[in-house]
Amino acid sequence: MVFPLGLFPSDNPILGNPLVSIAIFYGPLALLIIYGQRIQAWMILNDVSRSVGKLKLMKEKGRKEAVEFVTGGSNAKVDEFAPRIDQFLEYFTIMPVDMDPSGVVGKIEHIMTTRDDRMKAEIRKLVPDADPVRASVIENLIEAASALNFIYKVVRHFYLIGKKTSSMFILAQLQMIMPMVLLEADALTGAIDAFKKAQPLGDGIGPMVVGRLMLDDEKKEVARETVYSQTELKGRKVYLLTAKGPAGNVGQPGNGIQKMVEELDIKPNAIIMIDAALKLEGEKTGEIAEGIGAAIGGIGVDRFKIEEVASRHGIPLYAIVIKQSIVDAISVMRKEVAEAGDKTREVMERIIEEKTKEGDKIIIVGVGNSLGVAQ
Amino acid sequence: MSSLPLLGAPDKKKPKLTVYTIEECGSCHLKTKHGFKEGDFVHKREGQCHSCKGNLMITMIYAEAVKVS
Ligand SMILES: [Zn+2]
Repeated sequence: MVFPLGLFPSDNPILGNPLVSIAIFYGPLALLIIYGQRIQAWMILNDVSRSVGKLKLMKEKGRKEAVEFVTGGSNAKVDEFAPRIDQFLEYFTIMPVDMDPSGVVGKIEHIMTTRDDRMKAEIRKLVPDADPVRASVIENLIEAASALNFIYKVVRHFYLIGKKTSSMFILAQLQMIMPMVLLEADALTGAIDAFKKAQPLGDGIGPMVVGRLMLDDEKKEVARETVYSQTELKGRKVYLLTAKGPAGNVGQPGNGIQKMVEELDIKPNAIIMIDAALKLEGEKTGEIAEGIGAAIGGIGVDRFKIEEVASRHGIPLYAIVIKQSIVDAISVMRKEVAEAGDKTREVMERIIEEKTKEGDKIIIVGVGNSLGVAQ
Repeated sequence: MSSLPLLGAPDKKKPKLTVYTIEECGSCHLKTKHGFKEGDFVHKREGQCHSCKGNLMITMIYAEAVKVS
């Protein structure tokens, strides 16, 4: 028998026993082979449960901030408002059936509009004297809090299922996506701070660039919470469209453009869209990129409508995007993004000069949330 | 214990952000920077410039990481 590594002196009566040294050396190995997976499962469970705890804190913060904002910090009103807000957090939206996709965009739009109307009506009932900015902040806060609530509940569901069935694989899957989930939840928590103080979001760069050009002209409402104005730029007739600030709106640029082109008979030679876009990790915040197509996020209704109008009338769509992370896009605007505003305008002017000629009509759309950005 | 990084250390440190309001004069383009106060919004008119009586307007509101020296 060989003493492993010669660790134990052979003159010791116990440790010198070859069986004992074999047990000491190979015991843990056997333990790891037999129970290794369980130890790993236990570690994963620990890790996931810590993340679930973090999500719970975030969710509670979201709810607390919403309640505090609505009550204006007075404790007397908490009992009255908290149950109503809890009810908001559980609101759900059932998406239309898409087995027969023809016409599904119209249905989605209808459902989203109904949801929006209902939310706004409820908020008006809750705080009848709120000005538009405050009402939009409440709406945004509730939206963020209910997203956090939803994330927490779904993650908790899989965590409990994994625990109940002692399935390491459910837990491992949860652990794998957890960093992404936490990132999203972090972004929402950051958004709450910006919402509360009505500070411009990273996503507000589109309304900021376009809003600056609209300052001296008359603004007309062309769709819900969406305004447009007309001005002159480099000898072109320019129509500027964006969400109505400084309240936190995204407006309806799809309906706005549709109405301008088809009802107000503005036949543009080009549409330029300016929006924030998600950067890939490693790309610089505030980087500007140009492209072709309808630069607008969301559920897809606005993009669909803009593409429809553009293709029906043969209008080229140009896009300028300002890159930022998901966290930056819904938290207070970063310095790099704010400073990209001037450069974005230069890019826009260059596109106007290169792609259109004097006397042309152009629609320029500032896409994004107009919180804290007036025009 | 788990989620140990394979390469390098994860970025756990979040920089502390402060929000600033930037005002700019329409005539002399003098920029002033001060802390954000509630009620500020981009494109808000802020009265007259101290040096040339031009119109002041908020042109930017942004968050910047505070440098720890
Ligand atoms: Zn001045």
